[in-house]
Amino acid sequence: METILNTAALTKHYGPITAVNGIDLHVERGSVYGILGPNGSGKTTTLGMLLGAIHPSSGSFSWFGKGTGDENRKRIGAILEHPIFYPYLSGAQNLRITARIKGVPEKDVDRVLQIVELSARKNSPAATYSLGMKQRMAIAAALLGDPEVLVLDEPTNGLDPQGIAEIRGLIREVAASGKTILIASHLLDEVEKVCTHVAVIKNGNLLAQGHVNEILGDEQLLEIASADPAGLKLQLEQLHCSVRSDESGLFLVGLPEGMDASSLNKKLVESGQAIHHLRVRKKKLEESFLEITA
Amino acid sequence: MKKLLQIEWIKLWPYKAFRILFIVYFLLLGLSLLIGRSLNNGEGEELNKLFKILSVPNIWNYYLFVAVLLNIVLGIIVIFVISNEYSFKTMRQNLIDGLNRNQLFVSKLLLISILTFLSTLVVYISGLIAGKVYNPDATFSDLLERNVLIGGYAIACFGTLSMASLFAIILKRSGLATIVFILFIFPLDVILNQGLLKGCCNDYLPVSVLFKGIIEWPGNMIRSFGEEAQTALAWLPVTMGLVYIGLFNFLSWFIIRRRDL
Ligand SMILES: Nc1ncnc2c1ncn2[C@@H]1O[C@H](COP(=O)(O)OP(=O)(O)OP(=O)(O)O)[C@@H](O)[C@H]1O
Ligand SMILES: [Mg+2]
Repeated sequence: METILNTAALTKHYGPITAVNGIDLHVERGSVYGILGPNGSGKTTTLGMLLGAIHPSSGSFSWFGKGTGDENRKRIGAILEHPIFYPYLSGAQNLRITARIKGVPEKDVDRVLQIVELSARKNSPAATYSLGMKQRMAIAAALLGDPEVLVLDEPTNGLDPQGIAEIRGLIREVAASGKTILIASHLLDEVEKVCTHVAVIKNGNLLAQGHVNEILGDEQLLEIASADPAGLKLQLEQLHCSVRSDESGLFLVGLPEGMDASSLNKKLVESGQAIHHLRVRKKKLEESFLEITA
Repeated sequence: MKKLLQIEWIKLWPYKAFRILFIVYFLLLGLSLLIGRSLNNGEGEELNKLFKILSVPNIWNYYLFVAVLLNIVLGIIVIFVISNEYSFKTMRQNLIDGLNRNQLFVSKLLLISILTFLSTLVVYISGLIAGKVYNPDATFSDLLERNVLIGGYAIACFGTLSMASLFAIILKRSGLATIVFILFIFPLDVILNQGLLKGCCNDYLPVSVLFKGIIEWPGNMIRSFGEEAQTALAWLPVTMGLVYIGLFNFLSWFIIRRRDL
């Protein structure tokens, strides 16, 4: 898998506030990657840094394995926070400016207008668009030049259910064409519906990241520990258990299909592992999630 | 460069307020030439005949003085255009879409360069035309006298617009930036000069340099009934003008580089 984006200890302080606290993200090509967190958790700040608008206080990131260069952004279509336009210019004129900046031929403007079904209103001033139209127009701008990556910050914010469904449909279509999409959202439901991967952040801290099913799925997890952690780990892997975390010998383990806690215990004992700790627990993240989405 | 120009053009030309202010600016320039012609003193005698402000080459001293004052209008145009980019957040979007911070700065620099160029061109051509119309006997070489002052005007204009641009970039809001710009030009500079600096630095402060130093006020010329007038540029204000241009633009560049958008 080719890595599209990597961040290392990305951090932003605003005076005493730490908006983003040492976040490491890892986004692979073709994934729809959700950044999930409540209001004020640092999603926009994170994306702002990735898009060059905000200077990180420390840490680093790299797009396409090429670092932080400004040229990278021409391969990215992005909306940060709100749809942004010159209000007195028409939608089409606004898109023409974006096309110029990205070095995309002007005829692409008509193509993206068709995708978001705004061709009929392309000559009205952007100030006269409804919120839903603005969101769609912003997505059109992001689609200009058929970029490899889309970055969308709360793309369904403020939309009615139909508008939300339309935008999500649009995102799925784009994802189906193999593009990498990064979406910030405070809606668990949204991330579950459109994303393949998710990073959960709260108060600027990364709580977890990984495949949506792993992180948001409701499979059981086991805490297991033995006197011989290395041997235990090896055994667990041979039994096709997925080791999620290793806190100094205390393993958090997901079970394969058809196996439960007692059958695992039995197998481990048979193979000579003396388990001194075994506990079934709900997913760690689900707990934090209840907090987050409350 | 060409790309940035095209982008500025697509942005600005359809902007009504921009066009209106621009037209108002040119109307005021034209009006100053007509007013100079028609002002009468108490005895009904034409001021122009008395003080020879529209005779060639004195017309340059008068007209460039007016044009320097009207740079305030151009400055306000610049403030509106640039602070809009902040309040609409389009500056940030332009960056996100792929411009780098140097390009953001250069596009603002292009804006003030083009306004300076257009204004200088219009002032020069209309000055030549007015000179010929008001003085039908003037020869071409009469008209070319004191033309070096036009260069001084261009420096004053570019400096004023650089200052306006810096205020807009620092303050981000058009109303606030306009007020500060105007306050700075009128009372603040004087207060600074007389109060704080005890009048020591008259020749060095930006407003004095840009509005009075490079193109001198035609007071002397009027008092001497058109006999004494500025005929050349003085090196000190010109140098100071260039220094301020460098300083203002460096600061603008620095802020655009450094500040989060
Ligand atoms: N320019 C700023 N100056 C000071 N604090 C800021 C600034 N921008 C953001 N913050 C703070 O940083 C934190 C993260 O804000 P951010 O906008 O990134 O959150 P978010 O996850 O996008 O939230 P939302 O879901 O509401 O959009 C907040 O506490 C916010 O107050
Ligand atoms: Mg946000």
